[in-house]
Amino acid sequence: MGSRGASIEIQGLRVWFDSREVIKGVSLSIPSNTVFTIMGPSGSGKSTLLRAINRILDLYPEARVEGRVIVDGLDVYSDSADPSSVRRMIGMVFQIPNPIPNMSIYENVALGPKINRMVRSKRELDELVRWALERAYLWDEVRDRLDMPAGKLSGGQQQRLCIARALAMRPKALLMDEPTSNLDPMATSKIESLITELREYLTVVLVTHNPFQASRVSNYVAFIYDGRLVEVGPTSKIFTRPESELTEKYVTGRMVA
Amino acid sequence: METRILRSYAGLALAVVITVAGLTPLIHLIAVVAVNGVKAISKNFPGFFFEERAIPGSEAIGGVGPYIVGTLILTTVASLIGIPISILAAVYTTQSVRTRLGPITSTFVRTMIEFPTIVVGLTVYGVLRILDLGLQAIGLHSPIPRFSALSGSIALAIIMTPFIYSQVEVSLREVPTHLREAVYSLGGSRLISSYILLRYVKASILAGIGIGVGKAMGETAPLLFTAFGSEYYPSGGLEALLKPIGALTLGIYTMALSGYSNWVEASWGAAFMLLAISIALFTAIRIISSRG
Amino acid sequence: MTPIRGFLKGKDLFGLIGISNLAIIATVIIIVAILGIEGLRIFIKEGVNFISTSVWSGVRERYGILFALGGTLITGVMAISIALVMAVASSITIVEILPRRLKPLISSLVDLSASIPTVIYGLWGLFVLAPLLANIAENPLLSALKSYLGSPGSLGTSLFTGSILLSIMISPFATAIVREALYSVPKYVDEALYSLGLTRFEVIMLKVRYIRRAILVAAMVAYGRAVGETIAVSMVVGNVVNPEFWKILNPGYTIASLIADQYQNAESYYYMVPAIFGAALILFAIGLAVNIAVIAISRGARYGD
Repeated sequence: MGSRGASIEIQGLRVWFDSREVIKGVSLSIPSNTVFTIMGPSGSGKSTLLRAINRILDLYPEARVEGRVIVDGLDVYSDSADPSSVRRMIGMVFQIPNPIPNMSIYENVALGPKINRMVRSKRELDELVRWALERAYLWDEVRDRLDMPAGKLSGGQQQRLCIARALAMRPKALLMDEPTSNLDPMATSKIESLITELREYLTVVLVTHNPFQASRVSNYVAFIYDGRLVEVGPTSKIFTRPESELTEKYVTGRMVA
Repeated sequence: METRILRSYAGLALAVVITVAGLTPLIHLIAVVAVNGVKAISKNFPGFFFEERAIPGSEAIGGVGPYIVGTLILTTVASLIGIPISILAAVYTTQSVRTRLGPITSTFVRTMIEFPTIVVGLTVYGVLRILDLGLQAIGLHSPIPRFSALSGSIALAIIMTPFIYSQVEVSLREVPTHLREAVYSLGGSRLISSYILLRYVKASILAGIGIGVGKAMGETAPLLFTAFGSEYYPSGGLEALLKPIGALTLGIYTMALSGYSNWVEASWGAAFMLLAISIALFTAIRIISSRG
Repeated sequence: MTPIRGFLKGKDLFGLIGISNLAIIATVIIIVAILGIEGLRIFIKEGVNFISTSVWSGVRERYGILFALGGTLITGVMAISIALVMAVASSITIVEILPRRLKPLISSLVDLSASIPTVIYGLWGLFVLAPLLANIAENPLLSALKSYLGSPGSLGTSLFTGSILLSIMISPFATAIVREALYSVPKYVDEALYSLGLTRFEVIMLKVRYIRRAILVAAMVAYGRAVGETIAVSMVVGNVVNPEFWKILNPGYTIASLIADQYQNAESYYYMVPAIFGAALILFAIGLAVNIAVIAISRGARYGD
């Protein structure tokens, strides 16, 4: 099921938390249907950058944003943009798997489509849930126990459930904030292979602090350090012939932090 | 060294003795209310729950039916007013971003928690009185009479609000950040996202409501100036809300102080009912809180 | 610079629910306003005499609530003195002495006693506590003190009875606060003290000293409740104008019980309603002062300083 993922343009983005500047003028072009990784050491601002894209940053009164984020031609920070509809277009997966624990597996995945009235019948909803769980590599494991409370799944399964939940919204882009940093290596590799498949029908923006993961799954990589964009380019180039010394230090694992 | 150890044991023993001494009145109270209450109710079972108050000084113990209905009505109407306001306000406070209205509300609520409840009743009375006098001056009638079930319910709603609001506020704030972000990232409006978060902390909210309702049911003082009390069953449909009404708590208060022995007996019966409901509610809240 | 646009756009109805916040704020303001406006009238009439004299006469339209003010303050102070001892002792017992399985039971018992409707306490106080204290007061030993302390009403109602009942009612609130504080003393404090070779009781006493700020807060909170408690007190305190309120075995009034007791007469006299509001204003002021003190103390340095 191929469809066009969103292309995302970040222009001159600056973010402050109270008086501290956390993102200091970042511009990026994220092509559609790619896996685009933003990597950098902790504290570099990459998670904040991600949250600026789907305007989740709005939840924090101490945050201030300047610049433009253009998704498929629409500036999400323009006066006419509605944050809720931005978030319907762009899904998000978090560092800690966070399904709603008392809700069943089915209900977790169905939550987004239900509240946004995306389907017209139970049958459509069932199909959508199944589609999402299949894409998240979880369907086979849970097809017989869709009513089980989500909290009973393992960590890796819960994270795939969260991915399914985001996918059920049929987003044009998926933001992933260090999705495997709390998972064991087996769960991590499962999710990494599913990420590479996702770009068939959407754009993935992945944040990770692990350069090796970046080299495994992405088409493009941007290296962020201290709130600034240091270097960006195709994965192979960044990892074999990086232009900046900082980048080289980071990808060879010699950067402390 | 010997004396120090002896003194330690003595001190610990003293603490335990004082504790037991302190808990004794409670145990005694429950026992006395139970014994006297059951005795009273058994004199007129099951009429006690349905009949009206007996003639003072007579042999019959009568019943507290109107008081039970009164308490039910007052608590229900108070809940209808107080619960939505408390929950909505707490949601606004925790989910709003750019305004000061939320934090200001929380500050005000903090001062409300310790208001003497009689002052609340007195001020509802005061407002209605001024309203009444003012409207009379221009030849109109006040929509809410001073002594009515409605004014009593308003007073009780004011009293329950701080408890429910605080509970909802705290439990919403304790939702982990990333869960909150996840709910919002699903793209629902702020109202819908808030609703999902409320469902997530449902157990806490129920406990808070339980506490608030328990408070409202057990209060007497605020009803003195508002509901005022009545020995008869409320009648006339919705009109009844505009007339004085009795309550279990008020009934106990007036009957106990009356000096008529049959009324005093009846007040034990009513007290037993009230105590039983309170303990049941307390236990229910504990169970909900530990499971949620 | 473009600030993040707020959510208050046409499509988002969230802002509307702020009305409930406004309702709450308005309610508090109205309460204060009413107390002020109505209460002011009696202050205009009586001036400072309202709180410095002891008289309550509808017929003569003279009102001075000194007797009630004294009653409130004395019963309050007596009640928290007892309640604090209870709170500390109970907290020590629960946190330090009880085996693990009994802790939740006794804790719950304490919490339960806080949620019993006050009128039931009043009932018990009237028919159990008061007669008990009346019998004790009959005791020849105490009769000698009658000139200093007065003597209770026929049923045993007196300011003293009220104080005892109040202390029973407010202890659970104080206990809850002290108990929490004792629980939260960090483990390393325990370990450090025990490793110095101190006996168990000595360690406990030092921990109590460590949380003394919380104990102060507990005292204030309990005092606030004692001051505001109306129904139970009015059932056992006698409700008699007692200018010599320090004679605690005499029946008397507290401000709260005065308001409760006089409500039936209020509308018959011209100035009684304002007088009642004036009394309520004083009561409210005391409660507010205590509340502010609590917030001020809580904001102060951490425990152990």
